[in-house]
Order: sequence, then C-alpha cells, then structure tokens
Amino acid sequence: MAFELKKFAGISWSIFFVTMFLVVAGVLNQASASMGGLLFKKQLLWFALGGVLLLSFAFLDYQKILSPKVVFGGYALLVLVLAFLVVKHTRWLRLPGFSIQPSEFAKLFLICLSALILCRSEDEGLNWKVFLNLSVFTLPLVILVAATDLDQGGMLFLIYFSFLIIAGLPRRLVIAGALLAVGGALILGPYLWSLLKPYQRARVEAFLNPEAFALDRGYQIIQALIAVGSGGLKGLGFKEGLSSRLNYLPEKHTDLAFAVWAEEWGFIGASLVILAYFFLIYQILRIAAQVREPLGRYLCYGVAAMFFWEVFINIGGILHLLPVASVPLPFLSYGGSSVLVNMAAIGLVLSISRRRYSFR
Amino acid sequence: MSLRYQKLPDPDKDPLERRLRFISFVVALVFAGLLLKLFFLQIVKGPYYRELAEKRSLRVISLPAPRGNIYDRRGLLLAGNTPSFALFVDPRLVRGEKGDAVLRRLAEMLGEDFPSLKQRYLIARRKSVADQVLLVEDLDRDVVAQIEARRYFLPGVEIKVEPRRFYPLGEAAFHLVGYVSRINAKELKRLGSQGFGPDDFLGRSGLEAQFEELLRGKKGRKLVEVDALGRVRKVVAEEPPQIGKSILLTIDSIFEKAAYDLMESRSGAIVLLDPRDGRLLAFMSAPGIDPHQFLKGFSFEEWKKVINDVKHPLLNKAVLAYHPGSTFKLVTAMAALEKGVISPAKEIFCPGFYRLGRRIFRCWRSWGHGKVDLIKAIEVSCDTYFYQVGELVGIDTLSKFARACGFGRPTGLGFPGEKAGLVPDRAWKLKVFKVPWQKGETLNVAIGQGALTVTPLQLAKFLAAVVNGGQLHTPWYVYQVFDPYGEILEEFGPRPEGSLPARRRTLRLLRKGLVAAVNGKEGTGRAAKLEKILVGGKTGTAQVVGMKKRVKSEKLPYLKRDHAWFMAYAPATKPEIVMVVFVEHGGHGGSAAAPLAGKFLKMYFEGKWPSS
Repeated sequence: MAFELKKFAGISWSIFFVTMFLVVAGVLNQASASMGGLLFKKQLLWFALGGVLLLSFAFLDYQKILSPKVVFGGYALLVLVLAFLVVKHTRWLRLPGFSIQPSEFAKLFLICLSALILCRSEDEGLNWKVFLNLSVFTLPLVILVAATDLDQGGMLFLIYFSFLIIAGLPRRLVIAGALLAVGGALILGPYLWSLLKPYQRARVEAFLNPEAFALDRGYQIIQALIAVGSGGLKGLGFKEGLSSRLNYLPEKHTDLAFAVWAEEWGFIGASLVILAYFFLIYQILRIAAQVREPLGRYLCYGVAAMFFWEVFINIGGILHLLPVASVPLPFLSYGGSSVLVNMAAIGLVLSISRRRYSFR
Repeated sequence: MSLRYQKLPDPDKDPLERRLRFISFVVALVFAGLLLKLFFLQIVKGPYYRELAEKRSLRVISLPAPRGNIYDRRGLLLAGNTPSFALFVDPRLVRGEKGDAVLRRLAEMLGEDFPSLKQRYLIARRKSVADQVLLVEDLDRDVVAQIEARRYFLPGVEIKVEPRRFYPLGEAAFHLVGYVSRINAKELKRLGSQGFGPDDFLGRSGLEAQFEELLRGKKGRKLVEVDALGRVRKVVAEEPPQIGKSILLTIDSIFEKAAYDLMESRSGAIVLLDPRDGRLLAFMSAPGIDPHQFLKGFSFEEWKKVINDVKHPLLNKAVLAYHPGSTFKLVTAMAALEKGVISPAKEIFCPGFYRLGRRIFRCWRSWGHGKVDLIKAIEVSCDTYFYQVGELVGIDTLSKFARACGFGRPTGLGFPGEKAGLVPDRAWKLKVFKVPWQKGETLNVAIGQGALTVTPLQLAKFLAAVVNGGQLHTPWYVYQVFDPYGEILEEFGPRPEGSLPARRRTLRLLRKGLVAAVNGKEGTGRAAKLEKILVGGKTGTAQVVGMKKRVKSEKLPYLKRDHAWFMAYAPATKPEIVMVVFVEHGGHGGSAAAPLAGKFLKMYFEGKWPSS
C-alpha cells in the first residue's frame, strides 16, 4: 500500500499520543512491578502485537470491517466460546502457546454490536424495538461472562447500560429504575446477600471496614492505600516502591497496577495518568460528537464508555471510593487480551477520527 | 481539504450531542473526584501512610551475643558456647487455617503429633513477649535440613542459629558455674530498658550469675527489609554482636570432677584451697543437676523430683551454714591459749561426761578418754576437755575469737547466696530470744553445737590461716578476665584480710593437735592418713537433733543423721592444700568424711586421677 498523506487527514493525533503516553507508563510500570521479569517481557510482546492491531484498525475502513455479517458471525462464535467456558468453568481459553480471556473481547463485540443495532434504528430516541434488539443480543453476553467472571460481567452490563442512556433512555425511567433498585435491595437485600459467594460478601464487608479485616479481606485495600499514600508528592522513585518491591501488594501486576504507579511516581505521576485517562475519554467523546456518521458515533461512544468504567472502577477501588473489583486498568494492568482489545479499540477510534470532517 | 472546515449543525438541536455533552460533564466530575481522593491520600495523608509503609517493612533483628567462656586454671573449659538451632514462628503469619497447615507440616517433620504441637504453640504465643514465638529449642541438624528445604511451604517459620551454653563438666560443676536460662516476662519488664530482649539468657546461679555483667556480651542488631511473607530482602544496617569477656579461674576442673565423683550418692560439699594465698582449687557441692537441663526445660515430674529431693540438689552446700561440730574446737583451743586460761600441758580427766550444775554434758565417748592434755584432746576430740575450757573462756571471748577467725560473716568470695553463718553471744541471745544467756550454751558452742553455724567455705578459710602462720586470706577463684581476642583486662591475686588473733606458738600447738588427730594412735581422723605425706586434720560430727542417748547415726532416719565434717591440710610440713569435706547427714566425721579426704589427698599427691 502506497503511503498516502490523505490517509492521515483528520486523524486525532491527541488520542494517538495520549495513548502512547499511557502505553509507555504501562511498560514502565510492568518493568517495576515484575522487576524486569518474564511478565514484563510478555507484556512488551503484547504491546507490540497491540500496536500492529492499532495501526491496522486505524488505517482500514471500519465501515467495511464491521459489516453486519462479520459482527454477527463473530458474535455467534463468541457466544459459543463463552458457553464452552461456562461448561468448563474457567475464564481462560487455552490455545497452544498462550491463553486468552474471551470476556475482554466480549466488550469490544458488545460495543460493535450495540453500535450496529443503534445506528440502524431510524428514529431518534429509545423505542421498544431498539431496546429489545439491544437487550436480546447483549444480555446473553453479559450473562455468559458473568457466569465465570462476575466483575467482567458487570463491566459488560455497564457498557450495555451506557448504550441505553445514549440511545435516549428517558430520564424518568432512569430515576424510577434507580428507586426500584434501592427499594428492591432493601427488601430483597438479605436474600441477595445470602446468594453472594463468600468472597464477594467479603469484598463488600472489607470495603466498609478494611481495618477490621486487616489481615485477610481488608488486606488488599489497606496495602493499596498504604502504597498510594506513601507515594506522597514525588513518589518513592522508579523501582523503589516499598510495597511493590517487598510484595506487600497482591495483584500488583494486574488489579493494583495503579497503586504501584502511584507509589513510585507520587501525586505528580498519578494525577498525570488520571488526567491522561480523562483526556483520552474526553477526546473520544468529542470525536463521537464531531463525527456525522451514526455507526462511528456509537462506536466511539462505546469505547469511551468502556474506558471510563474500567478506569473508574479500578482506580476508584484502589483509592477506596468503591469496593474492589477485579477489573484491569487499560494499558497499565498486565494482560494480553486486555492490551489487544484496548489497542484495537483505540485503532477503531482513530479510524473513525479520520472521517470526522467528511460526509462520505 | 475544504471539507475540513465544514460548519457543524447546531449542537443543541441534536439530542445525541446534548447527551454526549452531559456525559462528558459527568465524566469530568468523576475524574475530578478521583483526583481529589488521590490528593487527599498522597498529599494530606501522605506522611501518615509513608510511616506505615516503613514500619511495616523494616524490622530490627537482634543478634545474640555469645557469652564469654569460663576456663579452669589449666585452660580447660567449664562453660562455653555451641551453636544450636531454635525454631521460631511468626504469629502474624501462622494463624487460622493456613497456619494450621503450616503447623501440621512442622509436626510431621518434628515427629510430634499436630494437636500437641498446636497446643504448645498457642501456649507459647500467649506467653511470648517477642514478635516471634519460640517453638522448639535445640533442633536436630537433620530436622533443620528438612525444614530449610521446605521453607517455601512454611511461611512464618524461621530457624535461627543461636549460641547455646555448654558445660563440659555437667552436674559436677553445677553449683560452681551455675546455669543460664531464658529471661522471663517479669524480668524483661525490669531489665528491658537495659537492652535485654525476649530471647536473652540470664545467668541464674554461681559464676554465671555473679559475673553476668562480664560474661554477657553486647547484642548486635540488624536492620532488615522484609517482604510481606517475613522473608529478609535486604540488610539495611548491621551492628555485629560483641562476645562477652572470658574468665580464667584458679579452680582445677580435675579436682572438681574428682571431688564430685568422690561424693558418689552422698550429699555435701568439698572445698579445696591453697593456704598460701587463699585461692580456691575446688568448690563443689553435691548432688548437682545437669545445667543443660535448664536450657531444655524440665517436665513437671522432673521438676517435682528436683524440688522434693531430700538431698536438695538446688542448694550449694559449700556456702550454706551448718553446725561445725568438733572442727570448731580449734577456735575454742585458740581462745583458751591466747587468753591463758589453760596451759597446753594441763591434763583434764574425762569420765565421759561433764556436770555443770544439775546438767550432765556427755562426751561423745561415753566411757571417757581418761586424762587428756590439749594435743590429746584435739587428737581424740574429747568433748569433756572442751566443755571445761569453754566454760573457762566464756561465751563473749569465744565469740570474739570466732569472728576474728572469719566466722559469722561472708568470706568475701562474692559467691551468690553465700551465708554468713551465726556466731552466738549474750547480746544476740537477748535480742533474738529476749532471755539471758545460759552457761550451758557456752559449753555447746565450745564443741561446735548450739546456735553456732559455719559454712564449709569459712572453715576452709580459717584452717588455711591456721596452717599458713596466721594470715587470713579472702578466698578467691577468678584469676584473669580477658576479652575475646585474648587480651587480659583484669588480673586478680591474693586478698589478705588480716591475721588470726593468735601467736605463732598457739598456732603451732593447734597444728600439732591436727597432725595428731590424723596420725595419732587414737586420732579420730585416721582414715585420712597417708603413707608418704604427713596430713593434719580435724573431724567433726554435728548433731542435727538432740538425743537423750547416743544412738548410732546409721540407725536414724536420713534427715536426723549427724552431719559429718572433716577438714584437712597437707603436707603438714609445708602446707600447700587445705580441704574441707562436709557430708550432710553423713554420720560420724571420722568414718564418713575423713575417708573421702584421705582418698582425695592420695590422688592429689600421687597425681593419679580417674581418667574420666
């Protein structure tokens, strides 16, 4: 393919560079968390693969790729795989040489599917037909994923919920739903509580009072808070974090990667990363607003929603604003599937951004 | 390119754009919240969390300092150190179900059943004053290897190498050397400010207690960074321990051991010293306890047995006070000669008793000794003679002489638990019993009975002065103190304490009596006689309970039997050794104590010691 300047027209360089910044931060953070070990090398490989994916998505025409045939075909395959995993009772699809987490890919498929469904509806606003279409196709994914991984299932549901809102879920319905949820929780609460698995109950209890469970359930919260807090303004320095180096942080490669970062780079580094996430999400939402083509719009919106929920739930958990949930932080957490999906999503957004000023 | 600047429709008219704007606003709000919380944690509470992080990951490990060694005069070890392995468990890591799994694995390797190990752990955890709980002491090397190889599966379990006290002579030198054991919670409270830690040992008796300050080294410290599993990652700072100072004694461990073996199953003490300068050569009390037992710990039954033993293995009889019996007649004779109340040649008739007023005072030989002069009286230990001499001297003079001879006060050796003994007089009687002194009591004191008590050590000190020409020496046994590099820090020598209140002629007469008591035809101490060496000595038989009739000691119950004494010196021509043998409830001094002295002196002068 010949190099054509035209292909760069309109591309959102700010998204590209802020993504690169987060990738660099993620690489540095893995280097520190794994002390240059095997996980670091694997993560580098995933970033390289993800980079290829990002570029190919960015320079291909998303409208051609995401034809209904491809999306629905992929969707059918994904449902099969997820059902297989539920039967096998595992989160991981083991392929020769490596394993992938289909629940990560489910996020991207859910976004594409929802965008496709929404962009096909002619009239504005959420009508029953759209609602049912959306629900019938996405909820099975949510349920199948939640069966093996409740946290990821919750993520999918939040993305689905985000689409309902953008599709025009009436405000009164949102409010009524919220009231209903609160009332239902109060009435059915004890019953639902008994349904929860012990580790899930422990999470909620630990969130409410981490000190009381300092040595088991609250351990992760307290250690994360100590790690983040001891970072101070300037941090303890790259690879100098006491908590991560001395293994006080559990899951420091994945769920608590941000705690490692905050400890070593301090408020300066941590707030920079948070601002970078905000900037990324904000820019993606801006493209969604600028683009005149409905599929691109909804795709951008879905990607922004995915990043938003992931960042909010992960960092919110570490900062003790929310109960901890095992959700990877985009770019900073270790995980091949997560890296591939996030890079592909950014590639998709970049591809859409190229078209934001045209009406083709 | 003109497409780029196309004018966009009015956003307010597009509901999607309106919603996107609202959503962007919500997102901004959420991120502001995240930043605010981050600011609160890192800037506002930063110092607090920083301190928590450091406290959590830095740990001070104290490095035990080996105690100094104790050597005998030949340079043989009396107390040293040997490395030992102790197993510690961190209660913060070994708890709950995971902890049980660890303990179960441990139990398997230690060959102990899990419930008992768990119970021991729980008790130790409750009693523990340290971060780590000491679970097993003195581990086998095989077990250590097994545990170390499985460290990964035993989080919170640590094996520490510690210097452990080691006593080559075992129970033979138990009372001299003493023992050490771990500090207890109460002592730690008292001594914690002086740098004592929960794993430290304290000298409990004997030299270990007396020279605790010298022997104890200075503990080292290591500041380490530990990870969440308590494994050491990095040594931040280290201050090596300083080994304690060593002590070289004048004691001879061969004498010590031989003396202990001589006692066999008897209870008592043997003190051996050099009369020329008062240095102790042996300082032994029997029976002893294996001092290593205090490091291992006693079971309840074992401890009960020790406590209830009538031979009192925990008491050092060399420094406890007993009636001296006839050995004290030497003091009575000295007082009489110095006061001039008798002349040595004056003969007194002994019919087997002495009548004072309405009371009959019996001589030990009921049919009497006939006519005896001073030398003969010492030789045959005639009670009648000394009743009369004592009466002539009077209690006040007698007690004055006894004190001048070193009785009634500690010898000055500094040994922990040393008794002063008791020299009674009128003032004492009035003060303690509120009744005046009876004349008959003087007679009892004159032959070493009554309220009078002396320690074997005092007796040895006294005899040494008698045989060296009248010079009292404070007994001593520490010759040198040196540091771990062999540099001598302190050196000790004889400590003269004044003279006996006796002229040379008096002492010569006393020595003549002592030689006669061993070598004379009727001498009570004939059992200590040697063929080639002239030995002098004096027996003593101290009544424990008053008897209407003389009964053979062997027929009495153990606790009512007489104490047997024998004090000896040799060679009489040029004394180089003084020996006091005390056999508690041994019976007659001549038959129970003198033979032991004889056997010992024979070995001493022939230089033949049991090869053990």
